[in-house]
Amino acid sequence: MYFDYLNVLVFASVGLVFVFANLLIASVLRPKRLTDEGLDTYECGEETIGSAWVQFDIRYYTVALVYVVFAVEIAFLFPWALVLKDAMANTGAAAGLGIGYFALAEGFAFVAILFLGLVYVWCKGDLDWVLAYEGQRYQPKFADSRLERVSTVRDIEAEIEARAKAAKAPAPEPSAT
Amino acid sequence: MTNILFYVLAIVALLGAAGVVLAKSPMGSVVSLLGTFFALAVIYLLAGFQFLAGAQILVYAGAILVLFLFVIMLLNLGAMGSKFELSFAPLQSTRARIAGCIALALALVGLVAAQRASFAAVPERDASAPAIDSMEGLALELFGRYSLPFQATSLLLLVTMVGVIALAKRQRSGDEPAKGEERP
Amino acid sequence: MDKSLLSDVPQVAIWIARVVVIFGGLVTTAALMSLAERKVSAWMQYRYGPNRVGPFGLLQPLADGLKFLFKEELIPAGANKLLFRLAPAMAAIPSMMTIAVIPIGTLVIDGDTIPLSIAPGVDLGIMYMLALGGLAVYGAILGGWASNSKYSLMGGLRASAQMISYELSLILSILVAVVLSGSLDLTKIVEAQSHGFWNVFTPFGFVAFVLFTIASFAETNRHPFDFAECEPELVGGFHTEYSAMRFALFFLGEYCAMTVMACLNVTLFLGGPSLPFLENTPWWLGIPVFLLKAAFFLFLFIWVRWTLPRFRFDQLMRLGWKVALPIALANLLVAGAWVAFTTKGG
Repeated sequence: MYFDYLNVLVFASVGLVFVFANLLIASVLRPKRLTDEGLDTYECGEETIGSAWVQFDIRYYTVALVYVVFAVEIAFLFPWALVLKDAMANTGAAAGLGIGYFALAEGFAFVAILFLGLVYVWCKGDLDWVLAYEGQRYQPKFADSRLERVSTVRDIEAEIEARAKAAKAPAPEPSAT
Repeated sequence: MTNILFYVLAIVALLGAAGVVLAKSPMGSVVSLLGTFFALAVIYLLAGFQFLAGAQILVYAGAILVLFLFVIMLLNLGAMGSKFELSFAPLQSTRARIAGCIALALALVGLVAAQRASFAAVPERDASAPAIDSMEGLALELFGRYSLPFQATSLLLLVTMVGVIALAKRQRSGDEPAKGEERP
Repeated sequence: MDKSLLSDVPQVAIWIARVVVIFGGLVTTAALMSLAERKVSAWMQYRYGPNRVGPFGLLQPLADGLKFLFKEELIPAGANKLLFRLAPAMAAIPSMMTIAVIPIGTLVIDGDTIPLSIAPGVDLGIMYMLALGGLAVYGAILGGWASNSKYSLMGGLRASAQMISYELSLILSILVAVVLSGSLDLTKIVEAQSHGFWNVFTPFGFVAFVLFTIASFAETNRHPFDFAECEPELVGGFHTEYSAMRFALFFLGEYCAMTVMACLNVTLFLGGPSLPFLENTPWWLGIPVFLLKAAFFLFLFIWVRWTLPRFRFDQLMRLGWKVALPIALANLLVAGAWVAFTTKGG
């Protein structure tokens, strides 16, 4: 087993050497003609105004927080997934312990409790990216989960046909008055 | 071989820890912390704790540190240097020195406790049962002897999730937003 | 005395050959993917695509690589130099390392079995992979932040938020395969499927397979989830400010990640190097079969890119958190219950 981890370590260093060798060769070969224009921050040709290191949206932070909680949960689910089959069959490492259904129930309870957390975040609206104030409280701005209907080729053809028909039809008589 | 690797990794971990404290920009601290986590994970691996190593990288380096990054960006700490610079200013304030001494004392207490525990009588184990350092052994302990703490963990995580959402999303007191206004 | 053909070859030589073959294969695949991307898109749009360098433009990746070497590199004056330099390596290296635990097949030479994999015996193969693969997020976020450009920062933030959102569904669908075979070792997961019954043939295996495929698109920042480099609004996303070799490294990382995801999909749900419904697949068929299956998923990445429009960011988050995550959680529990009630216990 250790030999395998050693393999990984050596493999990683091969990758490291590959990456840095490329960078080194490039740094020797490439030209260096530094100009002020070249060192500007790219903003589609406009003069850069201010730094990009500004305060950003809190929504990213909330997503990261929820992710951390679930990442911890998943770390605990790894042993559960690994051992479930053995525990049920009473074989392998679990032989003689007889914890099969107990382990299963524990996994269910663990996931169910955390699912409550997901439901809470969901109800609080933190899983919606865009919320608009609708009086009293914020509501998801795109409540409809489907995409808005997109015109198909057939729709467009039908519309062209209708227009052509309308153009062919005789213009209404100008009124005499 | 293992010893050499251990010392190298330990030095990397300590240098990373020093970098966390001394880096001038918070981003530098985060990158140093990443190095420390990585070195610690490999040390766990050397000690035979595979799951701990995996969880260390998956949870600490992969999730918690990303959260730190977002927090730093959220706090908007203003212009951060364009270079990786060290600043020894933290070492010169009295408060930092006191905090450092307390941390050192706690670390020593932990070390002594661990030393004592390793000499204490090890409870009798079934020799045929897998050791806790293997993943299967750990899982069976988790669902057998420690099932209650395991469930308590999930409750703790639930409380954490509710807590962070409640704290992060406190409605700002003041004017009512205009109808149709997007949430900041 | 009957001596094996391989007994005269030192183990180290076999080991080095394995590293060279797998690493070279990965990098070559990544290079060819950059060509395939342009060729397939040209084919789908009724164009020729690159066809000047070498026969059918096959040497184009080589020409690109040389060009990247000779291009001037610009680092914006306001950037954080150290992180700017470090970020491309942080994006490329974890993606390349994750291939180490994937069992591509076995070679049988004169009775000796050689697994074509760098580290076939890592007990926690999948966990190792996910842990390292998750580190690729730092390449995007640090690269975007260090550039000190608004486009880069937005791209990096979006990329990281998207990667962490879909990582949950990705891991949960992988755990279904773990539950079914009772091991975290990829070699054993393949063995469990080697009698012709792939994981994808079970209902929850199929759901997990679909979820994994969707999540792998999001994890690698590919269409229809490529918010990191959504050209109309963010120019180039987190690598807007990058040029020359460091720019190439971001792409190398992306293509390596795609290759690894394709291989992982094949390994977990499609039986790795085995054929369906056959009790035993002959060893010499294993490697070609594996490569063909992986090639299909690589083609799928390109196919989807030129077929589907890009999502909107709120749609992406909704799909990840409100659809994929609950389904993945429920699916894992169903798989667990099925295993529990069908396993004959003592």
